[in-house]
Amino acid sequence: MDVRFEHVSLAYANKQTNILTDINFKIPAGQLTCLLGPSGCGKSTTLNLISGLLEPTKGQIFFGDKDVTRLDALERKVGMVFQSYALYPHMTVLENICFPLRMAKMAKAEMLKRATELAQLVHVDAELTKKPGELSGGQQQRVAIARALAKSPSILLLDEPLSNLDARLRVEMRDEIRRIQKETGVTTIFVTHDQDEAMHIADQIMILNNGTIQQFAAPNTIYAQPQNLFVAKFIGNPVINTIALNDHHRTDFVKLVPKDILAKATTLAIRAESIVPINSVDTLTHPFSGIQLETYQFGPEVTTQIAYHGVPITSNQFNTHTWVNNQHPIPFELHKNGYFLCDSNDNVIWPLKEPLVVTR
Amino acid sequence: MNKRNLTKGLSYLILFLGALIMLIPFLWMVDTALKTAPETVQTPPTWFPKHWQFNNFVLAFKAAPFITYFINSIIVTFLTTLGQLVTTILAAFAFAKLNFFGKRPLFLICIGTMMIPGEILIIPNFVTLSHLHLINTYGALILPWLASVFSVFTLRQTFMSISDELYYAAKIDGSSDWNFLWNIMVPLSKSSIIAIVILQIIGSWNSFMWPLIVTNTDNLRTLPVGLSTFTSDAGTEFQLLMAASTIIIVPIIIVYILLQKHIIEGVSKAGLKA
Amino acid sequence: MKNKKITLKSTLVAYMYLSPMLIFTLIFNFYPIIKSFALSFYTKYNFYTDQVSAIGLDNFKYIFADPDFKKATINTLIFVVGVVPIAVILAMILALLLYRIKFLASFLKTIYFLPFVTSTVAISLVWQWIYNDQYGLLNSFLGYFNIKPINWLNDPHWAMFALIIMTIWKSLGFNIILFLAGLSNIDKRYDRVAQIDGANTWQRLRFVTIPLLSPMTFLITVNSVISGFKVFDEIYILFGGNPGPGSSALTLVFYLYRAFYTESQYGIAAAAGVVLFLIILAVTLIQFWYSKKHVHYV
Repeated sequence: MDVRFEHVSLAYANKQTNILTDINFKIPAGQLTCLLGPSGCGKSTTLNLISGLLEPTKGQIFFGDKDVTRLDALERKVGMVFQSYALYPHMTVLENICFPLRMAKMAKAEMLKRATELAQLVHVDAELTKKPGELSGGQQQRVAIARALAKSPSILLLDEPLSNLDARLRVEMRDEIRRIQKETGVTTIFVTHDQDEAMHIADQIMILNNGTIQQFAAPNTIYAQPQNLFVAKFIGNPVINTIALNDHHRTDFVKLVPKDILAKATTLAIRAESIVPINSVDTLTHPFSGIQLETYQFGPEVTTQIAYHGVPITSNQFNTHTWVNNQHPIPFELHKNGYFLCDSNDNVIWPLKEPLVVTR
Repeated sequence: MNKRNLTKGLSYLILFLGALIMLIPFLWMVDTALKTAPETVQTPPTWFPKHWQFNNFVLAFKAAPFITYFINSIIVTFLTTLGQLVTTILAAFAFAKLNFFGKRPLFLICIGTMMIPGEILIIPNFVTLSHLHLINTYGALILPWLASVFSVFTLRQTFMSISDELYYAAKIDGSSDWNFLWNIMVPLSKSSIIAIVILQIIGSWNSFMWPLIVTNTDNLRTLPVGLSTFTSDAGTEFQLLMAASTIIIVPIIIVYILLQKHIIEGVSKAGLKA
Repeated sequence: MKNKKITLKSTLVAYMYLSPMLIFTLIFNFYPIIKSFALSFYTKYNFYTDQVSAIGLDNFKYIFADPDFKKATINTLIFVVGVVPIAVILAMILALLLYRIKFLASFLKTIYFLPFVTSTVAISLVWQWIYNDQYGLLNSFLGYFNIKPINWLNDPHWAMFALIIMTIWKSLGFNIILFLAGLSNIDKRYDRVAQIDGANTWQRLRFVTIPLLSPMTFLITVNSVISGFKVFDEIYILFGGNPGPGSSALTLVFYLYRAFYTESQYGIAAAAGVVLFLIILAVTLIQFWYSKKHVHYV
């Protein structure tokens, strides 16, 4: 079922400022959508508005064609997985999965059958008689997902479900959630502050900041065509290089960018992975030069700091054999899609966008 | 012996001496309860009765209606504890998880009353109960103790420590407030609830001044009050007095030994919260 | 719901949960507090018809002029001063010892705590028997050291002392348990750090453990002082329904009880209750004021 927000705002009773301001979007059915943003951006708030745990101050929320704005969580039939898993510590795994079914007064035999199926789906069928305290974090997470799926929810909501797990397990569970979503086909909304996680798991990513939507698109679109500097900075690792343009930089770009756009541009953003040695493929046939400052190697990873017209930028595309002494001139090229120009409002004005394909 | 062992030995010596002083009155009570009347007044006193007089217990039971006192104590303790438990759980839940007008002021007023010594309440409560014609009834023994602000406060703290996420998860799972309270909150707060119950049982079983004031016939007296009236009847028959004391102390000691882990934990917890 | 506004409905639901507790608290807790203060100003009061024909300060004038009330106040203060320091320090020492041992620790804890669970009435009766001047255990024990029998309970010089000893004995276990709870709440790392810093056992106790324990010591002291001011059951039993020989163990609550129950002077009893409350309040406030300076909260 798709989820639609129309002019939704939220302010807490005793505070003047809005947490969310006039939000409009449509989350497509049957896909996995990530709400991504730094802490305090409004992503958990948005999730809670979808779940029905919060009620908007203004605006309407639709599930499909149905207005659910005034319905509570139960009536909206959502399933939810919490960051702390929120498993009932005194119940066994089986009892936890059964709990929503018991509340719905399902017949016992049917209930057990469904719970066992779900346990198989999330691979905890060997742990049914254990209590949550005896399980690892990943297993607890699996149980929480099974419980959320138990009542065949219209929408599955996951609130930072992986942030309590260690790094390796996080990758494993990320793929598991993706698999479970594909197998069940349930519309899934996933909140995270980790862009890498979002990039790997999502069909669609909604980036939020300061209570407004920055961009809502497929992961690759967001990476390749960020709407603004915030999105460009938030996505990608290492963080994109940003350069306040000076006249030297402008001179370098005169041949590449139309005059009127270059005149409006105030910031240049270049991805570290797009700063490459001369003669690489898929680059602008235009050499740049800088001064090599320092080079570090971390296992397979090499980062090189380059002073580009006095502004330090980072590249991770220079191999060890191109190392030279520090303070040495270093020529480089840029990937065609790896740099952006922003105007004074931080909106990306170059490259010009192909007309946006809106998914509604 | 090195210094460390010496310290340790000294610790144990002091602790055992202290424990002995703690125990002597109890041992002496049982000891006297098993003696004949002449042996109780023998000097120097003996530690082992020459002729074990289990008959003293029978005599004590005959001398005063201890069975009635006993039953009264059980009735009063049971109903007070049960009633207070229910009112406490419901109120603690409202204070911990529900939103309502007047929550803060009401809670502060409740906390404020904990400052007032209970002795002050005796007179007006007596007046109220006599106007309700409840003096010398079970009502007078039970009704004033069916709500305890202290218990509500203690349990609220425990309930607050149960995460809100769990509450929301249950809400989403389709559980009502009522269901959540009894299916999730109460089982999860088991140890706090046991502590409250045990403290209430001990308090109720041993309570003296209030039952002394509101009862005036044997058929309603509880054990402590019954025992105190028995002292004036028994006079200097110390073996009977000690037998009667044993009768009142032993049940609570049995409960204590069975549940001592919970009791000690409960007292520690309640103490830390206060 | 998280941001659910407080509505009439949510308020109604909450008050349904609260109502059983509120009903009893209103009748037997809130109302009596107010009523008690009111009663202390009733100078002419008909209990049976609940009619007040005169109000004033006479009750307070009466008790402040009453030598027995003065005696009760002084006795109560003597009792508190006699019991609290020893009870607290002794309990702290025993708790510190108990905390350091493993073998038999819980067995010893059980024994020390025993008096707390037992009926004050029964145990006071046992002590009455121990204090018996002719056949009591205490006097025959003292006899081994050639100390002449003391008439503990009938000699006005000894009665209060006997009461204090028994009260300390009874309160010890409860305070030990609280001290142990306080000790187990202290992070063990402090002790280890102090050890690395070169502090010996005594120095660690003196500079680390005892200061960190001070919030609990404070709590126990306040608690002991308050219950000291309320002593009644022990006196009633130990001295057979009397406030000791020559009123030597007449305390404030006993005074209140006697005025109310024996003499049916409700106004005077209520006035005594109000004074008791004010004394407890004052002492508690002084203790809190003192603790702000001297108690180390972590």
